Amino acid sequence: MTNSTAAKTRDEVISIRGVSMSYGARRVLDSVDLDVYRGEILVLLGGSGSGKTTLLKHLLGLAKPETGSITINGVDITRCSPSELGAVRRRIGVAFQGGALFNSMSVEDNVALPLRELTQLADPTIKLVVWMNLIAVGLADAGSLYPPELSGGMRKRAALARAMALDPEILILDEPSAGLDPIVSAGLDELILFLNRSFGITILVVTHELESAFHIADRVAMLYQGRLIAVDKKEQFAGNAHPRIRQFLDRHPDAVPRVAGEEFITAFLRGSKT
Amino acid sequence: MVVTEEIDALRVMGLDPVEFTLAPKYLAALITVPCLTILSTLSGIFAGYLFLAFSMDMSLRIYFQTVAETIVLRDVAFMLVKSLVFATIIVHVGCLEGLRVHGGPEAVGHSTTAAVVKSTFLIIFADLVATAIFYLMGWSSLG
Repeated sequence: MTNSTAAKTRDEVISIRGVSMSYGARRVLDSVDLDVYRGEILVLLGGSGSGKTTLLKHLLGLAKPETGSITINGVDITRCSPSELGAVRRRIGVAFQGGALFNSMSVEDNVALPLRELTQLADPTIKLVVWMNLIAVGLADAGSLYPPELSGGMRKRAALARAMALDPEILILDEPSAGLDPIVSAGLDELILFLNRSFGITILVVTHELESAFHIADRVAMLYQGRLIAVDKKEQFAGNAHPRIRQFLDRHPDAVPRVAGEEFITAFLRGSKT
Repeated sequence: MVVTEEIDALRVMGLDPVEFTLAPKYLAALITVPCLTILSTLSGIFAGYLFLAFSMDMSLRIYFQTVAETIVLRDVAFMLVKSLVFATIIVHVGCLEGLRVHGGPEAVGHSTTAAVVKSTFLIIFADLVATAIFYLMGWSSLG
């Protein structure tokens, strides 16, 4: 009983139930259950090939799970009509890993695109919204540049500005700080926190950058081989005893498999040196 | 665009990726392919003159007079209609292959090759069909 009352006080925006998916014989997602509550920042951790990106694709309705359901704002996107899916997506802003900006358009036009295509706003209003979003991400002077002219960090910021354009309830960020230097990455973390604290946007971040994850997260979830092995408040998560989580958090490498004839090779290399 | 997630971005934004990627390219091809066809036909005619001028000392005036007498408006219309068909094939095959890419940069190379091979084949085939139709209907100046 206490469990259900606790669930009622926390309002789930996204709720994933028993989602499974495999490519051929390989199980990419294995009955994943995950809730994202309104107004929180949930960080989804996981190594390469853990199924993070696949889970994200399912959340956005770009792929359909074999079993299970994904409910966003009360709509099961695995079973709804295309128009319902469209309505759900309208409330979600996504910043893809590489930015996914359109290279043939300036940054301004990239941010303006969803506004022009999906709203009836007048041109001056669109300009104003674009300008405000670019200021929010710190790209006010870069509006007329084209994506190939931007640095990695600027591209991620521009993608964030575009994701924010339609004033979303939920922001989904795929590897927002991957490949950025620590200073730019820290700036992006502050920006994510700012968006969450001042606009109350629910944010789901997919990453493998530990430091940034623990800085911004309210809760942390970890995927390993398609299975969700832990979801917890970040303080508790840091103390989790699961061997794979320990290995991930303490940055221990996997045991290297021994190569056949290794002794021979090392002996040969040693011999050739002398 | 598939590999860099731009197509996914369009889908998530609720925009139709086919409309967004195919429409402008198709429109462009409908203008440029006929222009290209006209240009290559003109250079073919001029190359014919060069050949005859060097091999038979034919004068410029006589050559172009003969050409102008031989070519009828129907031939030009036939050429333009075919170029529009080819433009349709090129753009649709290219976009279809592009949207079907799965995997990294290597896959892009593979589908580029596939698109070139498939559209070349389809163009030859369409050319055959079009020529046959024009011949059988008695529209061709060859008949």
